[in-house]
Amino acid sequence: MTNDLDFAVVIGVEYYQQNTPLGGPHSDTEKFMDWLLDPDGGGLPRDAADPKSSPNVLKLLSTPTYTPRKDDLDLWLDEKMNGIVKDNQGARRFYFYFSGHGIGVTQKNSALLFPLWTRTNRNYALSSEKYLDELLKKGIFKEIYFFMDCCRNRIAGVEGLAPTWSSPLPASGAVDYLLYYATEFDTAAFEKPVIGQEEGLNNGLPRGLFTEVLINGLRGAAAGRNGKLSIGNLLSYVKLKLPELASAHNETQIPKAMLSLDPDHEICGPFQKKIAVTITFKVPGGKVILEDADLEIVVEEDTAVGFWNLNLSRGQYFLRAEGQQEGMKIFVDGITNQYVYG
Amino acid sequence: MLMALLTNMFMAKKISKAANPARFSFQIQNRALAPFTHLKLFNGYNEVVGKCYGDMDMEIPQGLYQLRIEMNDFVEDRNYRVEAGSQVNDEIIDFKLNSAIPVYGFSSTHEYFSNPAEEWSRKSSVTGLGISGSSLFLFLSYSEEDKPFDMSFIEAGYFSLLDGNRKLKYRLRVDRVKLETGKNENAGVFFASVCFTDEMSAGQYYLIYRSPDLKREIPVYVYQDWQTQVFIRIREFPIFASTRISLSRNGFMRNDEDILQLDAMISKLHNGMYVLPADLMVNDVNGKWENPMLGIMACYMFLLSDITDGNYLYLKMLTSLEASIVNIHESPDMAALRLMGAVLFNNAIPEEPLSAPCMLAVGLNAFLKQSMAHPHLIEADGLVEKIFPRLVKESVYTMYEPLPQTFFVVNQKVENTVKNITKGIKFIDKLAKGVSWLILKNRMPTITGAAPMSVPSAAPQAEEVTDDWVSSSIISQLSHISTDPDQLDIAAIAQQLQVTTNTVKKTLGVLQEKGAIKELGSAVLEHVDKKELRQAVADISAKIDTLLKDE
Repeated sequence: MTNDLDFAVVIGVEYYQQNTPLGGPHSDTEKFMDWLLDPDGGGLPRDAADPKSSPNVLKLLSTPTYTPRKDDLDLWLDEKMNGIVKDNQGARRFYFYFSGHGIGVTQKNSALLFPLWTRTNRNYALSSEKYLDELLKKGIFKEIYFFMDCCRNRIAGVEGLAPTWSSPLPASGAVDYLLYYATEFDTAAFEKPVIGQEEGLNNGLPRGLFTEVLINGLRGAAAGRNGKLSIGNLLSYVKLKLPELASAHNETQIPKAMLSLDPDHEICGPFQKKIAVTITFKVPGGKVILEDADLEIVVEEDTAVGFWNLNLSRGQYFLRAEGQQEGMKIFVDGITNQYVYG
Repeated sequence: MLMALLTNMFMAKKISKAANPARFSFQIQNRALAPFTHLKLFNGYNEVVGKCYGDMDMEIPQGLYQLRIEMNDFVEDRNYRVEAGSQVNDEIIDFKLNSAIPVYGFSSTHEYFSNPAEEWSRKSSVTGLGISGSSLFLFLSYSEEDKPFDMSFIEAGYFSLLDGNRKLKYRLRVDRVKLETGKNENAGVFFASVCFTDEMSAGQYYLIYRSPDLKREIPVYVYQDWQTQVFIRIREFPIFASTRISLSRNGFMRNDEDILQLDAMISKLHNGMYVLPADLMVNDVNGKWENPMLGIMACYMFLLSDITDGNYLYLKMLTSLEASIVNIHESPDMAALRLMGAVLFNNAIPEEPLSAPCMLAVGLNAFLKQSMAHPHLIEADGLVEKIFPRLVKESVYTMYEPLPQTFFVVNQKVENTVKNITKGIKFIDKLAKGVSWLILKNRMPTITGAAPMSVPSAAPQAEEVTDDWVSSSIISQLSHISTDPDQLDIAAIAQQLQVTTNTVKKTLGVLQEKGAIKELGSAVLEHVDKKELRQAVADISAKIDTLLKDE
């Protein structure tokens, strides 16, 4: 079943008039788009003629020959919101995803730079806070999700622009939001060549580290032991995994979230509670013990066969040779399903 | 193969263990940094089971755990397998942290930095004699693996120091500084330190760096009988974001734990994390610190935190600070602390305008914010007002592009550049750029941003164009906001651009008086739809008239 009442704007800017080009925003934006259209992900409706697009999603990518403008976004959203109101159909969620250059304005606000941003044209950027505020005032979407994979360093005189549409009065209905930044205020977000297991990821091309972890989380890695993926699960997962990934690239990056949504609210899923994994032993032979996150023994068997195929619940596990306290930690998250011990 | 897979498929079997809780204790051995270190303990399901600043000590069920240790830029994870009834004791000795200050506790600290810092914070680098009373100490440190130190920026005299009247006091050339260079053979690292020290009268100073590629100005205040210490790391050029400013009565000391805490607080402030450990607050209330900069930072942290009922406490903190230094009352940062305190605790707004920029940017910004409602706080056309459009927010310290010596005539090359930039851009962007260009052209050379300084330009032959982003941003703003007079608000525009209302008024005045918008010609706007342009020009002109109607 598709979520026909969900809408999204996804923006990836690699080419700037005056800024350094970026390598990851387009592929990151496509990945987010894939998740949006995946029935196990966002579940937004696909376009009948082009299954890679959706009538409910505006995708803006900068290219050397095409420069997205702020009006593109404002006009599309205005038209969609007018349509929703006119048809009296109601709407559930609005997703906003941005990957490109950003500038931190305040703890809550970032200026998301559009390609025409220059030092003199320094306000040609979207204000995350102002767009969120106006969407909250509109009250059309019940849940609003902003994901922003961009730096948040500061430059004087940059605040970002509000949308061209506005509301005279705040809406009466309840609207809740998640404002999720790739990094803390006044710090950088990074893109690095990321080697992943998913097909097409291990091409060595740059990926935004935040998007990498976010997408993994949304695809089920963040789901709790019951298979449900709440907002709290997602935030906790990204908070744990993003600094780990950044650290592996000798960088420091800590995500920042602000929300009014209930952390227990499920964002997608549920996902399978049990996951099929294979553990291969480099040196077969000898007894090995597998313990779960509560240190309960799950398997205690000889490894002469060379591998175990198991159905495991989500969470951390510990592999150790019999009689040993030292061992190897694995995390069963549904993204990785092959592990090598030894 | 499939059969093998199936036969080797185990179903989970569980052997229950006793559910006695375990004890988990984690200690941070660097006691100076412990109150600033954040610990977060996750269980094996990625759920947070405990978090705190400082040491952790708690009961947990048996299981797999991951501890996240965060101390500013330092992040480390540790994994534990905790058995029922067991006691886990772990610790972290130190953090891999870098700083421009060569004090023990940072991995960037080496003897080849600490030794010259200790020696030359006590002697004048100009005369070689010992110093006493009020003084300024500048310490630049360089450390790179593959590149020997390039001292050309010292030879060229890119660093200079102006006094409170903006008269050149020193140009920091080779004969005024102490330079030590070398190579750490073990680590294969080239290093260098540059020290400048001299006695100074107490009061306001401006440290300026002016190279062809990078220009910065940092206000520095020297307190009576104290040494103001400025630390900056250098690579190919100074890394101004690494700047740290401290105070000392007896020169730099490599084992000064106050400086470790000062550095931690600056990093927290930089990240918008307003952390003021209880013991530091107690010390601040009682004036029990060796380094008054720690007291100043603690006051800022106190004001930025969520405390709203601490008026008495805050007054005690201020009193302790004022008792510690003779002339501290006159310093811009103390003026900012008084203003911020008055705002937070609903006291009367001080009458005094800001005499010079604060060292901490948060103080300067407090004056800007309050000047929207109380314009007397920033003198119209004064030096402080001229700083706002030039601010570079790369540090917690106030930094800006140096006030200009002169403006240079825009030549044909610049004009062509403007045309090239604007080619193909939507009309309103082009309009904004065109206006900016036109104003610059109209101004030359009669309007200057400040009284000419006595400092010769580092490259006087080079042509320099002041970046008049304010006028172009105002045009851009006016093109987007409503024509409703109630929404046309000078203060709102000033707040948006983070400049004073007077700056906005003056810029609007120039736009109106010079008729700059109406003068825009086909040279800049040849590709624009004329009808659309005429309408935009009329709209913006009308908005300017509305804004200035009551002024």
